[in-house]
Amino acid sequence: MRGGDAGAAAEAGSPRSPDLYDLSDDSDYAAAASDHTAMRTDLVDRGSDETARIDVVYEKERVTIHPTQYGSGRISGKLRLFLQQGSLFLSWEPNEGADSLSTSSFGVEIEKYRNLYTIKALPLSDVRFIRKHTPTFGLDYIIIVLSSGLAFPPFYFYNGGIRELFATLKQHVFIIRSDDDPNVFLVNDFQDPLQKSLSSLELPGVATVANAMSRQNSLSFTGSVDETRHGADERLGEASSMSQYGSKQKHKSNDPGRDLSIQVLEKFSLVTKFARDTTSSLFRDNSGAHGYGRQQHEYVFDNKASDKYKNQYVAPEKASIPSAPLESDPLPLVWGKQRDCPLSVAEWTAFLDPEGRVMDSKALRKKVFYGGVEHVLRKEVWKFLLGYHEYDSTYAEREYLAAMKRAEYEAIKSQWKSISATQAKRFTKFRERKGLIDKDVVRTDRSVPYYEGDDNQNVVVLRDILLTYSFYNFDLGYCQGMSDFLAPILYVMEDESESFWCFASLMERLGANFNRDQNGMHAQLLALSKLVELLDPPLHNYFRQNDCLNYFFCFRWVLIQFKREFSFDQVMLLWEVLWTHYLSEHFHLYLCVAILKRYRQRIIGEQMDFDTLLKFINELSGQINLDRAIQDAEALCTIAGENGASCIPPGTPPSMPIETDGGLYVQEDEVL
Amino acid sequence: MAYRAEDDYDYLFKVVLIGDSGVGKSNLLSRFTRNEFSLESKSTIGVEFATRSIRVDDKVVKAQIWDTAGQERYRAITSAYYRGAVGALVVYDVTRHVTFENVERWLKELRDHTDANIVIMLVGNKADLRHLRAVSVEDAKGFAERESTFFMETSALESMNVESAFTEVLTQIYRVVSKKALDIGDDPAAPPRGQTINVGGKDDVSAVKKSGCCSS
Repeated sequence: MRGGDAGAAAEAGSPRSPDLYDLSDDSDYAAAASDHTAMRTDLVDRGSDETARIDVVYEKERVTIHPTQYGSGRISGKLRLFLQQGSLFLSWEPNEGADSLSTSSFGVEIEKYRNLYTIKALPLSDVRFIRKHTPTFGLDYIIIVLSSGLAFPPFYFYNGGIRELFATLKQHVFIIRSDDDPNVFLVNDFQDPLQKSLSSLELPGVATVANAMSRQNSLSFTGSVDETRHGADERLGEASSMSQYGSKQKHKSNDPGRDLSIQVLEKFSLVTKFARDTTSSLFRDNSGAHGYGRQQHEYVFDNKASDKYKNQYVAPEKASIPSAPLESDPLPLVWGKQRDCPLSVAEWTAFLDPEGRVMDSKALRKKVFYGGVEHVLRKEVWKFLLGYHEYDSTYAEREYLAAMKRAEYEAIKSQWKSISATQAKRFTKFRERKGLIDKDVVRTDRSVPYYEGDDNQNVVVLRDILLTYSFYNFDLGYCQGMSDFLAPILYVMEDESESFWCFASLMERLGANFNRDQNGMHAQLLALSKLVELLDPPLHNYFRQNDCLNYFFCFRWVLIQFKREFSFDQVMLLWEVLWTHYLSEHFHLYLCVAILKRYRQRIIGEQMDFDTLLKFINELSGQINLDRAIQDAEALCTIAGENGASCIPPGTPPSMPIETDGGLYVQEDEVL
Repeated sequence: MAYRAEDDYDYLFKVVLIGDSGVGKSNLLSRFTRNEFSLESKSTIGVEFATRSIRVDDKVVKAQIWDTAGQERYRAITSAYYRGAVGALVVYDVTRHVTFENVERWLKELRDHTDANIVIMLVGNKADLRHLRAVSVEDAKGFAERESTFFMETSALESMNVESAFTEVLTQIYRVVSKKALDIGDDPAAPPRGQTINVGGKDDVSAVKKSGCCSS
């Protein structure tokens, strides 16, 4: 590879990356070398057959990305600026082959996803600002923040060249130094001072972790004085509301503006792995559709490796938030942690004391949150997650409880069992309820072998449990969607009474989903709307402009917690993750946001109206990558922090309902 | 845009499927739009829709057919889906009399939420279950006449009359719309003939309604 450290002009016009630029015309190449203004070559875009003339005005080798927090994991590449049809574009291409900078085993991993970071042609019109970092110790680097709020990872300049970069930029785009921070260069910004641009990005928190270079860069931690005053518990929320914190605190302490903007910028860059992952998937999702905006096609990231990447990415286990002292308790990564393996029998046993108490329920919930539960253990573990068993109960107590509850179940069941045909004739409500349940159980998960075939006894058990529940909770009764919840529970428990009580426990939290006035659903859809507003303002604005803020298109997702969106096995995994309430009781809402964000480019790009959006969302069923969605949701949940929690009113399902004097499920009379 | 270029049509009509839970609304929809039927198809949660284009005279009529959960409890949240509907199939199950009794309530809800000119067809589904019949054709016909709706018995399972039921409704809507186009033919403000009248979109619904033309 060339390690050319010459100025931009000398490097310009000599594209050498054969996979990106086809040097098919040698005379052009020669001409380009001799005459800067006439430098032209054919750009052959791998993604399409289009060819267009490009004019490279800046090129720098050994501009490097550090995708992991470890210095050994680096991807060296070439940064370019080029003109095409009068517009300036930026590209960054990783070098081919083994990277001499990758000295450890990380190199192997990095090799697999280096292409993920490729920027083929980013129009400068999409750039909001570029921040220059020139730390006293360590490498110079820049962070590019897009007007969408996304940021690319820091580009480290191993051979210098930042000055030339900005000099070249100035020649081709309107770029001004921010009044507030001399290291920030606003692009295409004719009036906004930095403060406005930072606050108007409205990316709450953006990210809360550091990566390698921000650790190396002492500047990143200069803002920590204030932070250290906060308790450890507050730190996450405080740090993750950084953009608001930043705007609020800006004028309060000595030099917070500088530090905070550094922090915010760091955060932009640090969220990038997540953003990139999201972005590349968006582009991949778009790949089949034509006639999209120029931008989507032009900076299509090469993401062939991204699926592998998802599983193979060596995520650092821990990292600290940049604003916190290094020695503070490390927090999980802001982007979703790689999914763990499910809780195994050995691990489960280790959680229990000799009498069967779960010794560390938080650790258990954490483990389940990140990996789920091996199927053989579900029967046991779900009872805790659902709240049917207390974590500190003993084997003996649980055995006793099971016996008592079995008797209680039989007693409730006998209430409807004893209704004779004659009595039923005069009991419309019972007949109709039973009719509805009968209709539904025969169309609930019948493709699952456990419920398959004619005269399947398990279908009868489903019916009996639901009918019994409708007597146990007569006010709420039976509502469509309940059978969807019960089927996996019965499948796991393989026991009528235990299934009933687990289901009843679940309904303690989710019963309000089925209230006649739909208040539980409205509360959740409203909270979802607030979360999208917080976590994706452009998407929120789009929904607002298109009269989609009722979020009815997410109704099915929320009502039955994604039961219809994933396979039976996936649903069991998802539910146990949700039921841990590990990061949030309302993790399912973050999951909604995560999925919507994944498809935001489609939604906005295709200008979907409400009807189209509804159809689109319905048809996503079976198409969503569950692990990725959980990881995204985890990141969003962490990013949102307290601000996210404050979007969700108390008592919103699956929070326990706020008790009132009247019944919990008082319903207006209805026929069904 | 919402609809792609190959998706050409002259008219887009929004039609809703309503009726008690389990009468076969989703299967009528899947039979008409995809020629599919499943005895074990899942209950509908929330709302769904599917589309199919048919030819009426020399025009392409695209039907956007909306299907909702039958349980009344969901009406609060699904009633929004009536918005812009110009046709409705009110479905009951010929083997369950109670679903026929409830048709009156469905009609009321329909009339509360939609324009008076909406084209309505009463549909007695599951007509293949002859030995289980609980609602006679005569009763249903009489009821339809009193309520001034069209009527047809169907079997989504046997594919009986499904095509006809939808086609009839769509054709009737088309008649209303084209009659309107004729009526306003001399109006300089009227859209030129042949222009797409999108009655599916929320703003265009009223292509049928605004002029207050009478239903057939």
